[in-house]
Amino acid sequence: MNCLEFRRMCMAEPGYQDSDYLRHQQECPRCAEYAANVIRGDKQLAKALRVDVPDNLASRIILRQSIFSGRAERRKARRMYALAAGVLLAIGLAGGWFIVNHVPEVDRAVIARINAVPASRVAKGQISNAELIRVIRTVGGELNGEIGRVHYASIYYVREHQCGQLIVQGAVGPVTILLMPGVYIGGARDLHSRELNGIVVPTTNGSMAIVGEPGEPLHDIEQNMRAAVTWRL
Amino acid sequence: MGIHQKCKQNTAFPVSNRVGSKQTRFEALVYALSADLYRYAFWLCRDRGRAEELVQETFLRAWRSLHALRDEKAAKGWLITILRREHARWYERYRPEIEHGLEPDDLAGRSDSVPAETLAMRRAVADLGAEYREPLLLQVLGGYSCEEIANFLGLSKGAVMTRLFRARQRLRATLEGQDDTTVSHQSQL
Repeated sequence: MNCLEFRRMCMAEPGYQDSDYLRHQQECPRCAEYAANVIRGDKQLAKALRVDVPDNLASRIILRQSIFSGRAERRKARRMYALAAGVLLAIGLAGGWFIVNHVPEVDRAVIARINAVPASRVAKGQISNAELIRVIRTVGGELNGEIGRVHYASIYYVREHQCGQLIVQGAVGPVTILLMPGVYIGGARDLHSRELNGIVVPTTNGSMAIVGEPGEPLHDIEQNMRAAVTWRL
Repeated sequence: MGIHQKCKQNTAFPVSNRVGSKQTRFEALVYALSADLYRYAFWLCRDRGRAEELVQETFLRAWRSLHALRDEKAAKGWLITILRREHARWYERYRPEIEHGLEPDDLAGRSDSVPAETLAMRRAVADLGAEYREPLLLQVLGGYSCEEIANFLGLSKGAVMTRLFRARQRLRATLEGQDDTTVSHQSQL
């Protein structure tokens, strides 16, 4: 490295650490003095560039960041609340829809059977007591008493289950009683249907649906059936 | 060890020794580097209010993407890069038609007794063209080598060396009371 190259390098980067540069600095007193001047000038320059920094700059930066991150946290929390509310709303809507629209399988089977053999289309005659006893025995019951005027009694199947259908005369009109052994339900409840007035109640060996005209005292018929029929387990 | 290397090490040390939560990391960066960053911003935009705003914005952006900073020793360079982008964004947005000169108060700051030669030097730096001033700031304030400055500015190392050479040459000419156009390259060498 010659003097010209050294001084050019020195003016560009006084702290240059290349071995050729350092060797030339050691070997050439005039260039060493030149470099010392430039470095001295840089030190003065560095000092001059150190302008006053505003008071509490660091604290103000941290304050602003904490305000920002607080807002961000609140925004995040709001988003989370909104999300949670949305999920709850969706669950609520879905639950509501389920409650309103979900028809339990037992009820669907009851409605299907009633639509297949509507009470209104059955002749208003009376079947024999023997036929009634046969049907009730087939579905696991024993007739012990009177259940009133019975227009119709038959066996039908829901999947593998043998069920019995009776159509009896109620106080208002014909009443369909479906005897469903092996079809268990949690407890007595109204039939899930807009068109039909009915109840589904548990029995010892399954369940029983009673469907009649609006205003028909279905629970009276239920009590009557419970009194007249004994169910085998 | 040169002045520039010392400068870099001193600012990196307190940051690299603090480990902890995001907030702790951030505060360590702020306390270690905010003053240097402010000075850099001030000489970049030559406006005290704007410089503080730039530094605030820089640290806010740094907070948002602190996870991207893997090596604490690179923090200063990372912050300078953010600050430069912020400055460029601001400049692009507002495009100040007239570059205002620095007021004497801006040069002196809060200190009552700033030596006349320091004020003269500050005036000379402020009057340098941005293309000369910025590499000089990065080297003298930031302690970066020509190669590192070239990376910051997206220039070749040779171009940076030329700019630094001319920056010092012009400063010297101004401070010696000469018109820099009359100072020949050779006479400086």
